[in-house]
Amino acid sequence: MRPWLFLLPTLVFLAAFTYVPALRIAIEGLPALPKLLVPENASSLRVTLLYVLLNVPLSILLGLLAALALEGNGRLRQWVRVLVFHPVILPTVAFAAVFLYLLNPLGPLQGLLRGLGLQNPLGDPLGAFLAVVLVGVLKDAGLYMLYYLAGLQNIPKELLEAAQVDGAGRALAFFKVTWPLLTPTTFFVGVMAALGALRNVDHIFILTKGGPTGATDHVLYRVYTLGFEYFDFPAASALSLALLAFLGLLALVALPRLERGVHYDA
Amino acid sequence: MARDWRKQTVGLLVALGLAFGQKTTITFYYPVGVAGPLARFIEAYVADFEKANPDVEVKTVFGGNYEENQAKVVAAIKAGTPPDTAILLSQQLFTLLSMDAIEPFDPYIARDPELKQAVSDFFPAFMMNSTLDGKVYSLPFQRSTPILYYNKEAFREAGLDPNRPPATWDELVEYAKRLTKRDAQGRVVRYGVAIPTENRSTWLLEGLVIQAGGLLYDPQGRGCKVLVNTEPVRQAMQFKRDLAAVHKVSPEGVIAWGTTPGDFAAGKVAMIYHSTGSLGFIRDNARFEFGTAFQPKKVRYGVPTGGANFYLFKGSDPKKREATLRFIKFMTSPELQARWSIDSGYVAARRASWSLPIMKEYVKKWPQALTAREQLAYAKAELPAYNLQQVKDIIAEAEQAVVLGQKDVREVAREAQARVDQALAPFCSR
Amino acid sequence: MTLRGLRGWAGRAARPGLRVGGRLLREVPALAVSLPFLVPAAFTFLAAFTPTASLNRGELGPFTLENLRVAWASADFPRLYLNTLLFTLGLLLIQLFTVTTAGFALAQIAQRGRDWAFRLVLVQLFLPPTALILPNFLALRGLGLTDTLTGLALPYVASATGAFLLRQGFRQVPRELLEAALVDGATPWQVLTRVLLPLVRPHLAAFGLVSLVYHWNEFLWPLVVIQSPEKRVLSLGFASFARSAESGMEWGLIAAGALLVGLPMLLAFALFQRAFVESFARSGLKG
Repeated sequence: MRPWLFLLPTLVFLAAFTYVPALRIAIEGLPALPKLLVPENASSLRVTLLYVLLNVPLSILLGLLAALALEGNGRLRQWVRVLVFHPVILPTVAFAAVFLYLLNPLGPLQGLLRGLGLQNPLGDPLGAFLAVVLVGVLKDAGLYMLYYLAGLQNIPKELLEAAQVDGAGRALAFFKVTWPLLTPTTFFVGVMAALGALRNVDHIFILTKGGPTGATDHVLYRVYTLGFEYFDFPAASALSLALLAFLGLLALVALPRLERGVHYDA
Repeated sequence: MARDWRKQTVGLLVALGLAFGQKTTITFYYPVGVAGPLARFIEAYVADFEKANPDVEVKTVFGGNYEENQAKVVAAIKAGTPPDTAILLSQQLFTLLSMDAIEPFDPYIARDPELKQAVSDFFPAFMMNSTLDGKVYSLPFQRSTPILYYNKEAFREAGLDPNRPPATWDELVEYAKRLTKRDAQGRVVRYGVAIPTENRSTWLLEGLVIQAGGLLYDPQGRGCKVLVNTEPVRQAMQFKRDLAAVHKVSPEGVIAWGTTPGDFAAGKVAMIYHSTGSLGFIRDNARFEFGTAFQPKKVRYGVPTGGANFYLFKGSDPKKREATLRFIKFMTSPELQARWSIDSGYVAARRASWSLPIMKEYVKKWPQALTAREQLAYAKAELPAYNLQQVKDIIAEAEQAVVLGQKDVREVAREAQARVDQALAPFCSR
Repeated sequence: MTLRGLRGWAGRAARPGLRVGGRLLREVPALAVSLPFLVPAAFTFLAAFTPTASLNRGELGPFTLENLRVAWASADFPRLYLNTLLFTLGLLLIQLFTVTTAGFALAQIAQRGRDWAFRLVLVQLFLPPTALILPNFLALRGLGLTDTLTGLALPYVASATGAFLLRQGFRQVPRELLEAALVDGATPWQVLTRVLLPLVRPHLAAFGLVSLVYHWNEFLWPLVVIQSPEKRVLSLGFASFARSAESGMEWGLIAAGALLVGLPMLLAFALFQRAFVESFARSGLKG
């Protein structure tokens, strides 16, 4: 009983600012669900799926590699950590604007871009999509590095040393000791990255506004468009509701399964 | 006589208000569309207004860019607390009407000679989006039109007369070919022309459609008739495509709005289509002599107007309404419009502004600012439509599909027309 | 080359005389990781001191403080800093309490209820933030808290991210430790503050930083909630001068504004990052 008491403050605020609004969204969105059956939404769903599939593994991998490479207190590592984290800190507008500058077809990387066959990346559906993924990965990786750095702290040094005394190389020690002990963190980072790829898309506002020809019309950007640009709140609610239902279902099915692979006891 | 009487009454009201220590507070939402301390300028004007009108307090609310400000106003309407006035796109008339959120100015124009005079002093082109059924729903504040900017030095280099900008589409292509410069490997170092295809906007396309003799909407259509599947629209879209694909005088793909003035200022493009609002930016950044001109015609000159106006919102009490009107009159006065034009680069919307000494001095220094004013004689109302942003998105996407060479222009125009009609149906099938 | 091979190589190189090269070699992974971030960071930093006209020509320099001067003059920065600090730090203080208790609860609730409680909290992350703006704004209106920093913070008091992160931290605490603490006759509160908190300090530190950074830069929600100029936060001030929907991109001004907005957080990160890598959490856990 006691533990639930500890959850109470959180539940009270969730009720006021998540559950009640969710109910409102459901009431407004339910009748508008048929409105969702338009080609724009189908294409947006495809874009979102591809975005998540690329963004999640890439940003986690980069975050993990950064954490492993930058653990410790060396001066250089401290500075590189600041570097990796800086996209999280700067206003998205500014960080995304850098790429608006760099990827300008007449900008400083003109020659390189031409060599890659992407003369005008942001003015081309494929190029724009890849640019949005790239900026998303760079923006999120710092965050995941941070979680992994925190997670690495929970790994008793003795275990690592023991593994190395046993003659295991670094790679082996990583897979035998570090990786299993990082699974609680990886579970967390994985879930957050999946949800993040569905939520943190501010850079799309700056880079492409969902274009060209819908190539970067992420579902979250679409919710914004429907609600705050078309003022079709029922449709925006319906889309949010669909997302809620999908993620809820996923959480119901996938979370326990995923967590079975997590080792909480060192 | 009448004026004196009015002034006295106002003076009396002011004195009374002050005597009772009562201030009328009005709320005013504004967007910022140009980089720089524009928010500070607006707040300074408001402070000047408050100094001259000590009985009124204006709560200035920064609302982000045009779209965000509109969203913020809608949120406030939904919460039952609309602002007293806001600066929103002149094109948003029908969207705001469909929300039953705004009131016309007419009752006040009838009563107030000063307001009446103001309304007749705005450039008629800037009032086109404001009026419906003879009623005035908004008053111009930050207005612009798209123009042609050209690099005079590049003109000289290519053997063109820097005082004779292209006047027709054919000339534009011909000039652009001569202005496009390639290096030894055949790579382009300077493009002839760039006409941006901004994501989610139809502004520049509209200009081309007008120049081709068409219009993106039926002027009698009351926001319900948007015309995409027409010959001028197809010609306009195809023209944009051909600049890169056929004539090779323009960068491939969709050209971004935001980076185009910079490319022009850096000498990487010799001619661009852009807003008059970019004049300040180009002035500050270009190191060569540049000119501005009407956008070339196909069969006629013409561009849409752009920018944002003051609206009056329902639910304001008479006292607040009176204070709001006084504020709007102040912000749209010839003096303030001149000041705002010089500060921001927008076109002063009052004719009287242009004969003021500060404006004359400014124009003497920057004659390029005159182009926009003169082009107003050929300007049309910017696409007015219900469900505006969705309609714009559909057309912009169609345009992009043509520019990218994904589909044939006839197919694109036909499809877009069907989708636009569908987007308008819920608002128009009464 | 495998990590193992690299290590061997580095080890051999670390003999006297080759030490510097060896040290550098050990930092190869760090340098490699830094590469993709170096370009945007260097650009932002240098652009802040370069006129936009030069940037448009693809040049850096002549360096100037003009961008910073214009950016500083374009908004009321002292007030923006103050409001943003009040909002983010005030919120964080409350969050530290809510996420710690919630994380503890999520780790301790008996098996069956645990998954359900967890999902109940996670729902917060299943809704698009933009979809919540209008309902939450209407809720604030009902409470009379629009246009206040308190109202700005309220929807974030409960944090699923934080509760989740702390749950992961608490679940890694060995049960024996908890049980021993409980047997000693300590109240749950004492167990939490004296025994558990020190163990999840890295997680709390990470969450604190994430919360600060996220709310430091958040734009859309403050845009809707805040009306008065004197209550604006940094993100709104930045947006009021750095964006240029109608004219050309002012790269220099954007970069300078970003520096003004981001510098306090960058400094905070540079100072406090040791918390994530120091060995305090590594000792005393096992063995």
